Amino acid sequence: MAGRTRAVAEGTPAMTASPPDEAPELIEEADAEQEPGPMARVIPLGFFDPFEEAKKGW
Amino acid sequence: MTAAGAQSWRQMLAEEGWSRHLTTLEGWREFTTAETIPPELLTGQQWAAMPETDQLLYDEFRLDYHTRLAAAATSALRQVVNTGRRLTLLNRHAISARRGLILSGAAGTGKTTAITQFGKTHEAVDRLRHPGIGDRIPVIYVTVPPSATPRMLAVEFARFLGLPLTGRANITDVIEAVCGVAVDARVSVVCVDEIHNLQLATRNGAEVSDTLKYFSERIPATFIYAGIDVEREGLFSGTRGRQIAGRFTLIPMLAFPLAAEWQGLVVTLEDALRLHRHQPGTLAGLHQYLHRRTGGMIGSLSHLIRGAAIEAILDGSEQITRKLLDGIDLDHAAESEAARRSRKHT
Repeated sequence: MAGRTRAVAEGTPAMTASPPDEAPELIEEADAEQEPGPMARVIPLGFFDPFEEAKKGW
Repeated sequence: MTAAGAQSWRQMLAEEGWSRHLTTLEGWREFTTAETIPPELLTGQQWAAMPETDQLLYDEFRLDYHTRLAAAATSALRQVVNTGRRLTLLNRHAISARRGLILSGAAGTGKTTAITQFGKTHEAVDRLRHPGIGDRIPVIYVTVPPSATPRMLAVEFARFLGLPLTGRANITDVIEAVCGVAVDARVSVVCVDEIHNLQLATRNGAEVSDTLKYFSERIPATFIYAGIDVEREGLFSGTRGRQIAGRFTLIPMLAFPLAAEWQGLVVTLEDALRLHRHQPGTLAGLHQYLHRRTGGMIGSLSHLIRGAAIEAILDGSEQITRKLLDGIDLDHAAESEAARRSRKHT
């Protein structure tokens, strides 16, 4: 629980992720252990929402 | 967040069906009405102000959320939903030879996710068109049992519908009961998963195929099948197979190539994480590694990321790193593929 206490107490106050309908900016590597890879602007696919899909009028 | 937050986590966890089975009407209805609501991350101050029981509840709620992230809107899923939608419209007034859909691909390519999300969408459409009518059953979802006989398959349909069956009921009784209820309840889509368990080359397999065909003639619905590499397993061979091939559209479900859609998928799953110290962009930067580990299989990727998220909550690190991902075991198929690729490149 000590590890958890520290992690949560030091954690970011809000959600860490970008809003679902907003493409993230150019993503840079987060830390030294990460593997380098060519990063272009990536567009998230988003999540499939059956309830929204149903409103499209079948 | 507060007592009200804790109360809502408690309620949502209590409502969760821990033993939910999609192959029963009760489980299916729970699945088709459930919405995935991402938990709000608390600040350190809010968290520290909560009693320990609520802190545990908060973690439990986040664990539960990460065990079942929503389905990513991949191009394959959209194709399945759009094609299924078109077929249900085309079949609406057909009196015979209704058209169906088959999803075929390797394990972990998202077949069950696609077929169930289509079913869930169809249920939502039906509820919008017929609000407040509780006795409708728009979708039946069954799986073909291994070494299935026609009676076993008919019983699967009956079990989904909750029909009481006595040991003395013969297959004709079961089929009649299923068709009667399905027609009365306005069933319009029938999803049959694990169709690879149907071996047309065997007598039982051929008879199960005939039973399915009979159901499709009696129940005015669009039939959707999903199974592992069914075209290679002989589903379209012989007279029965050719009849299936003539009526069903095949959508191949494939592994993702290392391209833009894969990166978009990784970013989507990363955006969904609710971890306190996770660095946004970490998984996006690891998209090549993730592709190597999973062979481009969406099922393996989802398992890997969700498993790492759960581990990060349990060990208190609250972030996913390459090291943590390395420690998460994957399915044998993905591990074998990763080893094969590794050997190829050395």
